[in-house]
Amino acid sequence: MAYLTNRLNIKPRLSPLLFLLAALLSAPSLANMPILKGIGGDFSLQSSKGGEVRLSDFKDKVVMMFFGYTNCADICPTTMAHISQLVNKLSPEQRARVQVLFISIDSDYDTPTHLNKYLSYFDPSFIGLVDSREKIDEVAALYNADYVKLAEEKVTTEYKKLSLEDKGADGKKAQAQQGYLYSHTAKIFVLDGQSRVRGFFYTGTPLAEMQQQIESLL
Amino acid sequence: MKPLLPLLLFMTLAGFSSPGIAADEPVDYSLHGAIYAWYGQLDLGTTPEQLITKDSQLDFAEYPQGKPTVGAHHILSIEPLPSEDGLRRVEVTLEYLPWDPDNLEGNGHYLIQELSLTQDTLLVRSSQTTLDEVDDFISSYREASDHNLIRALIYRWTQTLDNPGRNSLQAMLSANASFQSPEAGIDEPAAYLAWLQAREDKQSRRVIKNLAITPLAPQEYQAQFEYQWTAINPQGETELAQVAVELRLRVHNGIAIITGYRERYLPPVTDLGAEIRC
Repeated sequence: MAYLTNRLNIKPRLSPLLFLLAALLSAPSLANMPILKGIGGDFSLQSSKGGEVRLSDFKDKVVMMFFGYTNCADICPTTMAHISQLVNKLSPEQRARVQVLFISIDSDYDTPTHLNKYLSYFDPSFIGLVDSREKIDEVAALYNADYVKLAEEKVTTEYKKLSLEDKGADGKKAQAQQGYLYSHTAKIFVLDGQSRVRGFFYTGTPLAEMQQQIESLL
Repeated sequence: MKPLLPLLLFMTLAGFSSPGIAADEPVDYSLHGAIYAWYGQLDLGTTPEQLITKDSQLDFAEYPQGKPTVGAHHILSIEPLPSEDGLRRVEVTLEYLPWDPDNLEGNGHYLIQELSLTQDTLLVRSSQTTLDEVDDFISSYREASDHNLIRALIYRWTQTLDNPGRNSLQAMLSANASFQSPEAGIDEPAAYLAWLQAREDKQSRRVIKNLAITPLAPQEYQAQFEYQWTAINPQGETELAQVAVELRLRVHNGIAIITGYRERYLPPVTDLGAEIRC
């Protein structure tokens, strides 16, 4: 503050006012996250870490949940990178009480193994979930997470091109499998320790704001 | 920077205290319900004795003989007034259309009336007309009674949901009314009220948005709106819900009654601008 007052040549008697102004302007822009009724619920899906997991397995943890797919060219990797940045800002104790879930809407292509590899690029603690189309649709309906397959044409994205570098079992480069493109919600669902939906983040949500909101739920 | 700083401070602090940007005063649904019921009954052409106190003073200035006859009070606004005598006082602005069976077009009245109502029972103690201006243009007659009575009922219903321990919903429903709550497995009004009561909310407030009343047949209507429901649960946490409400109603002999009721949760309203989809 002294630096600022000197720099701006502000009289000392104005400092308290300036401090007040700064405090007002820096106050959190959002109140603590309310509980959103009429959305959410427990479910079970195949986990990228193996076996089947239920949402309720993450009781007492704050969950950030995103619906996407590994073949997504833009918003999914951007969002997962954004969440990864947020997680890195948390203390180890806080991180232990936060779980990121990535629910694949592309059950035609994504497998638990595939999801595990994809998510490890962002953070090895992230868990991918996938299952039959019916089960994914049920979960998407619970959370009003809209998605729609854009066309029947299969595509190959940059991530798939990277996959081409992987060697197959016979030592040759594996054939790249192609997936579909989807239009899907870009919301990051934020759930509290009782699995209640408390709000949403987006890729554009400032990290400081996300951190403050997550900490308010811990 | 020097001259700018006080200005910046003023703008910031003014922004925090300006009444111009303060949130609208929340609607008192009990009070508004009583006022809509009052005009709904007046529009039937009789003085609603059950809605007034014994010593009420009613000027009925809009009526030719100072006595209610069939007409249509279209409420434009209800503004609360300060009161020091323990009564609830409001200023009601209305468009009044007199009913003439031989002529469905005529001059309406622009009315401003001050009503005072008893504190708890909301009976009309006085009605004083402060402005009665006859229009200098012709209007077609539009009935208002049924709409006023339906609004009164919806406001009373809303008040009951927000205060589940006080009244029953049953009196507002027909004997064979269908009922669907937004909660899975609750399809009885008494069970829904019991569920709401068991929540033990410290505070519950439903705000009605986008109310639309549509006639279906003579004396039968459909009403649709959304509740923006905010509750403070016993743990002090704020809970929010958007609820779509659809009602079927019948109005007969000055009484509106619900014949079908359905609520369902809507997805939370989110920032569509921020919700990029790929």
